[in-house]
Amino acid sequence: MHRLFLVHELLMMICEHLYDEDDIPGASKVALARLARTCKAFHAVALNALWSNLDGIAPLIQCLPAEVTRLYLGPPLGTTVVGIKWAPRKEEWDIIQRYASRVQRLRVLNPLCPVELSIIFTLSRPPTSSPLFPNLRSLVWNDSRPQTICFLQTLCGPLLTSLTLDCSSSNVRCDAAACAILIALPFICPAVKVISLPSGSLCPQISNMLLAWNHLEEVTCGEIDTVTFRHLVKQTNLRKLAFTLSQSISQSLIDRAPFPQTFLRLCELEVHVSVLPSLIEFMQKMGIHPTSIRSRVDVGPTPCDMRAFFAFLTKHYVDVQPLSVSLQSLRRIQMPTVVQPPLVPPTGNQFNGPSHTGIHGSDLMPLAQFGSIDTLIIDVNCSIHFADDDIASLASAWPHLRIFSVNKTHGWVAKSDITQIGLLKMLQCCPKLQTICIAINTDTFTEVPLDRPGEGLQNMNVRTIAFADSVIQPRATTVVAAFLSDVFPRLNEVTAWKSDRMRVRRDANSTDPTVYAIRWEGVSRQIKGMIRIRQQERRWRRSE
Amino acid sequence: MVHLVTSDNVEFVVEKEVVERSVLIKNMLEDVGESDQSIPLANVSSAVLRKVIEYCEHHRGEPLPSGDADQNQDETRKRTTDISEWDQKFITVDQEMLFEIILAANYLDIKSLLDVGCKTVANMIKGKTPDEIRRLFNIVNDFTPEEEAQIKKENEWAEDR
Repeated sequence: MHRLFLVHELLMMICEHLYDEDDIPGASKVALARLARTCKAFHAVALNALWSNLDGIAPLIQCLPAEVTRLYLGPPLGTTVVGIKWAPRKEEWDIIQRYASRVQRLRVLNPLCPVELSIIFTLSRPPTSSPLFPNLRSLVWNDSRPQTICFLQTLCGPLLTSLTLDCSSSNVRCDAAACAILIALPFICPAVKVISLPSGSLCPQISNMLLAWNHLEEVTCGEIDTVTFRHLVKQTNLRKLAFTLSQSISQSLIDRAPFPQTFLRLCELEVHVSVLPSLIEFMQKMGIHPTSIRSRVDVGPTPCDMRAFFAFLTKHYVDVQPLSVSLQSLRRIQMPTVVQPPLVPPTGNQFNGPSHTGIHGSDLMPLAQFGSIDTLIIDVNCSIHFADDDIASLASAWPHLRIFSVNKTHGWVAKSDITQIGLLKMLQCCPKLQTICIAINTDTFTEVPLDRPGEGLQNMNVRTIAFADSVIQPRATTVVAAFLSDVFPRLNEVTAWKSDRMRVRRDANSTDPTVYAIRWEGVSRQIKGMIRIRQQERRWRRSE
Repeated sequence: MVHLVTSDNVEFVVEKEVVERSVLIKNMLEDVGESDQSIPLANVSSAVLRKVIEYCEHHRGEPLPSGDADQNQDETRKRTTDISEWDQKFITVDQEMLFEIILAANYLDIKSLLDVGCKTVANMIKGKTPDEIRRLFNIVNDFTPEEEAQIKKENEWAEDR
């Protein structure tokens, strides 16, 4: 054996690289499991890597002898449920403990590998006074059954620093006993720095938990009361806050003088607000300048709100460079002039209604003064009117841009004026771009050129592109696929017309949007084939 | 220019900007200051150092990973590192040289080279059975058949796909 394998830290690094999430699903786990039984030198390191990040608790039962476990198909059809035939004996608990002690990050339930309720009850009562998961650092609790909450007490321990209670999809409310367990959690895991609480009504006093932690760095929660808010304001290490801005907090800010020295290190702010002006008012009153701002808005935002928001940023972010701006409409409030809008022809002035109802390239231009921007996500209930020049101006102002996504689910409603010229310009100016959602005008894709587009310009980062509600005609599909497969050699998928919101629309010719969605799926398939052929040909050329 | 002397007593004269991709040497130079004295690299042979310098020259000017990067960033970097075409060609060497480059990168503290090397070894392991891994790396199986069977059984869930 080479001396390389005797250096523990190098073996650990190799195992970490084996755990590659981008790989074929499960391939990394197979490799680690096999490596673990290659020789004793690899055994512990490979098992530590294999068990350090556990998705679901089923493996803790599956590792027991076959006669102890039972597997059967349960609903939904085809899902294997893991059960246990009898309570584990001492030797079986030893096995469970041996592996549980390696777990550092755990998501409790894996929907693809569910466990019987009895397993959770069993693991909740280990026959030992020492913690079952002594090294657990990060826990995602995604079990919405109130009767399982006692398991949280087994899981949480003094080393836990990240806790996510992800029960937002359920409408279940905890009883008093379950609530008591939740509220007491901070006392058994006082080191928590990253906390995510459900925004639903799991337990009425759940936000009170936040009051007990004093070293919080990231907080995600729903609505909180003013007492909790004031506690968070004083968290000197808080760098991320995601919450619902309630009327009571807004009111409390109006009634009192600005907080001195608030949110000293806050760099990520995510706020659910009723209307966008409330966010502006909040940020103004608090005097904060987070570099990442994400807002989910119940009503609107209207183009006018958005212009005001961008104007606010340009005025108040004098010495601070924002990195990420994201605005999203939540409810489907129909805009006065965009009621079930048909797709309209390019150029904003032909839009079916006054142009001020849509977002134009010029509306975003104030943000061009921030060369630091790496993320812009807009998904709002307004039509979008961008042309090649707009994209070119924004792209040249944002050389660090990684994510540019505009109306991925709402669609652009108006036919896009962005062609391959604008897209190429964007790729040229923004080499780090890895996520794109725009609507593209495919009318200019008439034939496959013999020369390479953009003189061989390529982006190796983008794996998926969303083209919102871009219209595409059958004759353009191959031309678009040829273009994209050359410019994005690692592209896996192209999507368009993906949301229900877009799929219910009809264009001026009453074309069913599903037709466009199917055509784009065809483009996606063609791209895969073309990329493969291009790879083949490059290899041939190299071997010649 | 910086003078480096390898374990087989060969002296290399390398530009400071190139050699400072090694955090070990960078720190040494900062501590000692400008000097004509050679830096002995007792753990690195001339053949390996030549390759390491080739790597550092190609990547000169690229930002070094920051020392205060938190653990999460570090993990993301490891997991998402794709080996670039140049790096892939560079690291296509015989197994002995690959392992020596990794050891040298570890000793000299060149994180990006260490990542490329470890990722390459990880890619060599993927898709192979324990027997194939043993043959590949010349490893003796020191488990009894019973021990090996038990480990296989306890971790079978990871192989059920």
